[in-house]
Amino acid sequence: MSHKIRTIFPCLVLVVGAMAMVWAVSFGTLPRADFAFNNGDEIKTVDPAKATGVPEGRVINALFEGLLRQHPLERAPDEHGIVPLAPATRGVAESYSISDDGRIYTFHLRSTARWSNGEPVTAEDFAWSWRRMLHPETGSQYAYQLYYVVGAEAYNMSQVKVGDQVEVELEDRENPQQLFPRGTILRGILTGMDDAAENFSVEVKEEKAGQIDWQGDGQLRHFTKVTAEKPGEGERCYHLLPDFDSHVGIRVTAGDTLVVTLNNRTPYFTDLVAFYPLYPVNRKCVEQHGSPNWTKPGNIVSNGPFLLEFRRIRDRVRMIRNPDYWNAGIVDLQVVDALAIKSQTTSLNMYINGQLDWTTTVPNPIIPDLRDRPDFKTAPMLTTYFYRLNVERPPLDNVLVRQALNMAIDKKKIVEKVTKAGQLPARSFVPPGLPGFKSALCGEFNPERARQLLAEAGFENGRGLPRIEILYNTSEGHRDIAQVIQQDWKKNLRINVILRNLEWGTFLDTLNETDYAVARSGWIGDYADANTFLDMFVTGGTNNETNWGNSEYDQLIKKAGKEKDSERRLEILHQAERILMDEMPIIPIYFYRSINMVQDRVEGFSANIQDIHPLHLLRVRPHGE
Amino acid sequence: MADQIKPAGGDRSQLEYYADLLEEAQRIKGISLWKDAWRRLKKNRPAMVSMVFLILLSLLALLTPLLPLQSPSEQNLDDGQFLGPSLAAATLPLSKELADHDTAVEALIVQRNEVAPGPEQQQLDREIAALQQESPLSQYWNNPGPITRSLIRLRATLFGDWCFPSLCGTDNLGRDVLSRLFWGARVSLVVGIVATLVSLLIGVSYGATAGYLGGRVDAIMMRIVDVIYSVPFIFVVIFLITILSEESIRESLNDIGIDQVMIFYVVIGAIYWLTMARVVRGQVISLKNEQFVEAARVVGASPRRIIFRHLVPNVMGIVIIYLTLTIPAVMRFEAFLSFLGLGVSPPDVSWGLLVNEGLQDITPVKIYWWTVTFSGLSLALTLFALSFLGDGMRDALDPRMKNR
Amino acid sequence: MARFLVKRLGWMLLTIWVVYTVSFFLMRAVPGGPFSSEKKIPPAIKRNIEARYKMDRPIHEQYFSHLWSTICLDLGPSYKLEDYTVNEVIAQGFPVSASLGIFAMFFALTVGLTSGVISAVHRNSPYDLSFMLMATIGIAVPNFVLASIAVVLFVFVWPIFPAAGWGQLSQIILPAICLGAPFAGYIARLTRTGMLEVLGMDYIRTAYAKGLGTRQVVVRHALRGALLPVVSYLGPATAGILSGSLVLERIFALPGMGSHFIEAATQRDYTLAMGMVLIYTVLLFVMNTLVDLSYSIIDPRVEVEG
Repeated sequence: MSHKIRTIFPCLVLVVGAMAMVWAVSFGTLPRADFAFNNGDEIKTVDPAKATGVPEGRVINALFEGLLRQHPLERAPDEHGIVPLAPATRGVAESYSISDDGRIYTFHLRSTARWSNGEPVTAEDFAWSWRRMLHPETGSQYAYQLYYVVGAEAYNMSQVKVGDQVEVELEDRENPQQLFPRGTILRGILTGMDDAAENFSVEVKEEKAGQIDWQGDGQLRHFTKVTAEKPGEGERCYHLLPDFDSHVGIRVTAGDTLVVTLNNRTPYFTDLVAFYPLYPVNRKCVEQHGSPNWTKPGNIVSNGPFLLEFRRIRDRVRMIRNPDYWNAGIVDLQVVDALAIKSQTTSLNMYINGQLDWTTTVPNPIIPDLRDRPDFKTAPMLTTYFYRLNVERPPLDNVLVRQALNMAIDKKKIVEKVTKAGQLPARSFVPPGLPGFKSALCGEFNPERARQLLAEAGFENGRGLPRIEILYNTSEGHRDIAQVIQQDWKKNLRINVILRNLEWGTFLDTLNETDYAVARSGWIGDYADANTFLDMFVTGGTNNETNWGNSEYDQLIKKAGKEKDSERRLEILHQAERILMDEMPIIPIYFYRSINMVQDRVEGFSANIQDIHPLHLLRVRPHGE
Repeated sequence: MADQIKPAGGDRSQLEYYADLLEEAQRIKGISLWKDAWRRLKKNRPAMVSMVFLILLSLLALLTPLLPLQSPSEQNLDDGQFLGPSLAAATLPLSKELADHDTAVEALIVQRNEVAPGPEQQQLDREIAALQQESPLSQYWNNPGPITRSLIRLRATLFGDWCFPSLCGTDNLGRDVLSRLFWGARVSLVVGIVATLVSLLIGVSYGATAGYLGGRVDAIMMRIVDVIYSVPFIFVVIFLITILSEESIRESLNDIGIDQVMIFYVVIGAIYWLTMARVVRGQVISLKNEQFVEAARVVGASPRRIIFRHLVPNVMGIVIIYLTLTIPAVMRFEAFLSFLGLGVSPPDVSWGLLVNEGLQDITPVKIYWWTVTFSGLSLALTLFALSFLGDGMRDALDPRMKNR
Repeated sequence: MARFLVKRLGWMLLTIWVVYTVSFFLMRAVPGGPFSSEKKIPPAIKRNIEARYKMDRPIHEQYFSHLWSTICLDLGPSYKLEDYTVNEVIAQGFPVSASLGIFAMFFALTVGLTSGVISAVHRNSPYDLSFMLMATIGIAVPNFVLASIAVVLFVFVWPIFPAAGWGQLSQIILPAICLGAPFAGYIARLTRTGMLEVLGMDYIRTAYAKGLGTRQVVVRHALRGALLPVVSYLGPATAGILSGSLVLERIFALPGMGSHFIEAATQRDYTLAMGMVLIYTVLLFVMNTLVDLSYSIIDPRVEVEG
């Protein structure tokens, strides 16, 4: 080793070290956002058609905008501290009208609505986005919210019968892994189909000048599905679906007019339209980049008050003000950070330190000490905290066991000693406060009776019961409640319980796969009607996730959907809830109160029953003022 | 000295000479390795203090079921949450509940014995088994084993309902921190010792075999060790735990009777055997050519017998030195895993788990300091003591220090 | 030297290959494991996995094709995170962990070296005893206990530092100190021992006799000799910093590689966990090689092990 190298070496090391330090320093600093809030956990996705959670909702509501939006009314809170929500209005749609029979909605889009790539937002964008959302391969969990639209359910469930007008997608997609852009679509009449709907024949009609000539001659062709177990001789195709244009009641009449036809009068349809699953996505963007790459910061095209600047996993989603938003004038915030902090304690600490302007969660034990602070805002919320039970996993397949589990939980103790914010113990699934609706109640806390039920089920004193696992998404609050319930079940029923926790995204996936025994869940009413709580649990419903189904229940929900008289309708829903509470695929625990802590410098924040706080309506006074 | 004894000849007979020699020899006591080491260790103050502390800790941990502590898992939500350390009296209604339970079980047993064998008796057997499960012992403690049960019963007879007050306060669900500390100590210490023993077993056998067999076999075995050594084991272990905690695997392992804690023993032990193997191999190589090995071989002992009966006992000194290094490392790793949530799961307790829970109770609004401080201190003190003792033993057993 | 590097590289490739093979077969052989067909996977992730892992091909084909992709640094999609590939997660987490590690190492070296030198020069003084006591504490106490106590003291009792998060310089100081403290302690001890040894040597006595001041003697003559054990410690120190970052990133909510790895373990995100294990192996190897090289450069007596 030459002497030169030996002398240079220490200097080299020092130089490299200094450079490393400089780099470390520069990397560790990020320009500060105007407004930072804790969004709870890493969001699963930014795609409106695929999201189901509240954290995703907050970000999607900032990045995208639907035909309509929900806002809190600009009014002072009432004596409970609540501000009611305005009827959905003021979105991409400038105005809308409803036909006399309540079935036809006509939305007129405003001309100033733009995508972030400069193109105007058109009715065609909405029609395409809703079609994408309904397409069975997208796997949207909220697709059932469009079932009120004529033909939508059949499309989403791929329900066809011989004689229907159908569309067939051939196996010639540009990218077999991606749904869009789709392969060649052939449209025609279904002439024959085997029992498994795998091999079928269609009389394919010709397309003339952009329109299908249904009356004209067709060519009989045979097809077999790619996923078929017993493939036939026909051409390979991906999907056989009812023809969208002829069956589904979504029509574009002019570039800026969307006409939607419903099955029945649905009073809360406008609320559904203002809910994020029905937000539009840009077709070119999705087809060019595919899912999920289209949601990445460089690729994404959105139409909301904010643009996606970057997304750092388990750190934050940074959004910046969109100057081309049609209503950009009212948007005050320039840079918004949605942080992904799971720990309630850390969230509170960062809030008190001034690093967060808004925290959506605080550690439960501290709540009594925080209650008197002016920045602590709490209000009743249309939300239920409940445990889902996988009714296909023994011993939960026995209804007596499920009822026993419910009656062995001391819910009053949980709300008084664990959650501590004045929540109400829940004996029904639909929260109180919905006018005219009477809830059906489940069993009260009665350990003696619970033990009897368990004995009737054949598990006297817990003998013979396998271990039960409670799954929850990582958070101290959920963990504490799970530990209390673990103790209750152990003490009262002699059941051994183990706990497992998962990150939000994985948790949602696990629920979807029903790969759990007991899972903690929460449900916010998407609109102010009991139906939003009850139509989840129809057999096979995508948000059911308990493997439970009851045909009488399904009938009742359908009947309620058609009932015009509101009093009778609520009575039918009550009967449905009665079935739900008798069969107990879920155990309601308590009704939420929204808990938010907001810094003094934030203006425009008001508690409301759905805990919606659109970011574009918030204003902040600069730091240090 | 022998030269001070007058040799035979003259007025001394051979017999007298030999008698004197014998007397002299008996007066000079030989000193064994262990005695020598012990003497040195005794002079090392910090090491002795640490040893006393550790022995005390182990005794207390062993006898925890006997100690009149409150229940580590019984929640007291009514008004017992986050109480600070206090001397307020506490009781556990154990005697009456146990008495009631025992009476009920006895009644059933009497009934059972009166009935002729048959379905009725089987039914009664089942009822007895179910009743046993309901015992207050299972309620206040998490499924204790038979020895633990007897100890708890003994405690009930000795102390009745009286418990230590919550000297360390209560946690967010009203559970007594002091008793959680003790029960956590059991887990931490047991994992520390058993995992170390596992590593010892694997390491010593592997290293001794490699060292003795030598040649190609040795080269290959050591190469394997080298490769494994270069892998960042902590990460691989976590990956292993990831796979092993998959539900279906966990269930099937449970059926065989291996629960998660046992997986730990093996997995953690599997990290630390490498150094032990290397060290033992080194020792064995240096001892391989000693005369006693030669003698054993001449007599016809099989390699296995030579390795395990002759070589291994002679490497014990150095093994013990490495033991003192390994136990704290294992305990620290177990606490590390429990802290991250990959270790023991509730309702079992471990010190790492307690520190994790305690950390979540510190907020600017209210600092519930006792939940994290006591568990952190226990962990720190124990590791401290182990480290001092380890240093002390290393110095004591150091052959260069002989007779100093 | 070149031979040394080549041999090291070969060794690293062998180790990585072993880790890869073991993980590969573990993940597939285990019944009910991640790639078994009974396991229900969300459709989006299933698409990604099938596209990448070619589940329908025979197993040896899968093995080699995945091996090739791994060598080309494409570690595949995450098993639990729909929107991210393993590469993206590592790319986002690495700079955070790296900056944390660099600060921690800087702290450990400066504080360790300085206190070690001072301790050695003023042997048995109050400085010496207190430094050595702090060093022992730093080494014996597990770093998460240390960090917990530091958080209680320096964030809540005396509000000097922010509690958690990442993005401002002030947020990285406390975690770096907590991470580096045990290593600072060890380095202090090593430096002190090394310095004492060197200071007792003849050539130091000569330097003093020549009339050089203490500082000159220490810095220009003694330090280099004392540095050797510290340099060779840097290898294990890096390993320690990498594994220590696992707990610290969790305590301080830093979105670094460590916290992603622990999340992968808790969520059972096999592909991500495996990818990260490989990355950590490579990192450690590189650091160890650099350390060995530096050692040979600094100490003329040491011949690089060929």
